[in-house]
Amino acid sequence: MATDKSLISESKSSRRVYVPVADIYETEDLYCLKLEMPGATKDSIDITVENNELLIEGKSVLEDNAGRQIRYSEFSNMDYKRSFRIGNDIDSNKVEAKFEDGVLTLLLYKHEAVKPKKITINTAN
Amino acid sequence: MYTYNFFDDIMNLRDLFDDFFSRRTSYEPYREFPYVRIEEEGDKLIITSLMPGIKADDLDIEIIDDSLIISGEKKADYEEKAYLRKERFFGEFKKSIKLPFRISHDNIRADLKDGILTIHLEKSEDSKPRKIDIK
Repeated sequence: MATDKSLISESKSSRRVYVPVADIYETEDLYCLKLEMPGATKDSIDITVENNELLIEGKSVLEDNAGRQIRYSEFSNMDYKRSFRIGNDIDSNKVEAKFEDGVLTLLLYKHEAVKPKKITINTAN
Repeated sequence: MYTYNFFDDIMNLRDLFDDFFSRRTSYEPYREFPYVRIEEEGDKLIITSLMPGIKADDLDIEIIDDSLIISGEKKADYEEKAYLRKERFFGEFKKSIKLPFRISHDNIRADLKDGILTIHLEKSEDSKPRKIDIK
């Protein structure tokens, strides 16, 4: 889990591809990822799980600025792209996603089989 | 048939550098959080700022003279869990933006949606261009 694959900016347009920053934690049942993608919307984000790779792509949809003159800017229109290698402990059918305040939260549930199981010892009488 | 060309290697090296430097994350440390954009449209001034994970209640916007001050706190949403990665920034911030002209204090609108703060400002009457009649 969580090894970045090499990412090369593919965009040749004025939009720039950013690698969104992420927080990741693990529990017994799941992995939780939080990625910051300001300006993206629920509909502009694509999440795919394929061949042990989790790919997150998004586009920021900023207010239309045609007719406006930029006086000063510290960021460009953004496309977001980041991929993670995931182990086979993740059930790709059980992925939950939520997008709130520009932060994408992903819950990747683990397969039942890989969850820790407590084994009770039978005492022979 | 292939002829070795020294410059091919040099170009590869340049691509390697370009790829390395284009792999930047959303936050580039030489700019102060939050990142802003100032746009002008006629008598209007539109300020856009990237504010992922910030609630409207934790944000203050003030206008002092010809400066706009955005301050607030990005509250950490850490949980008591085993973290594999912590890349996000949390904490208090304050940023002052010098506006290119004085603005009217009456028509100010600020919206926060999907982590983007948009502030609409208007030029004050005395900074609007005025045509002077020659008598």
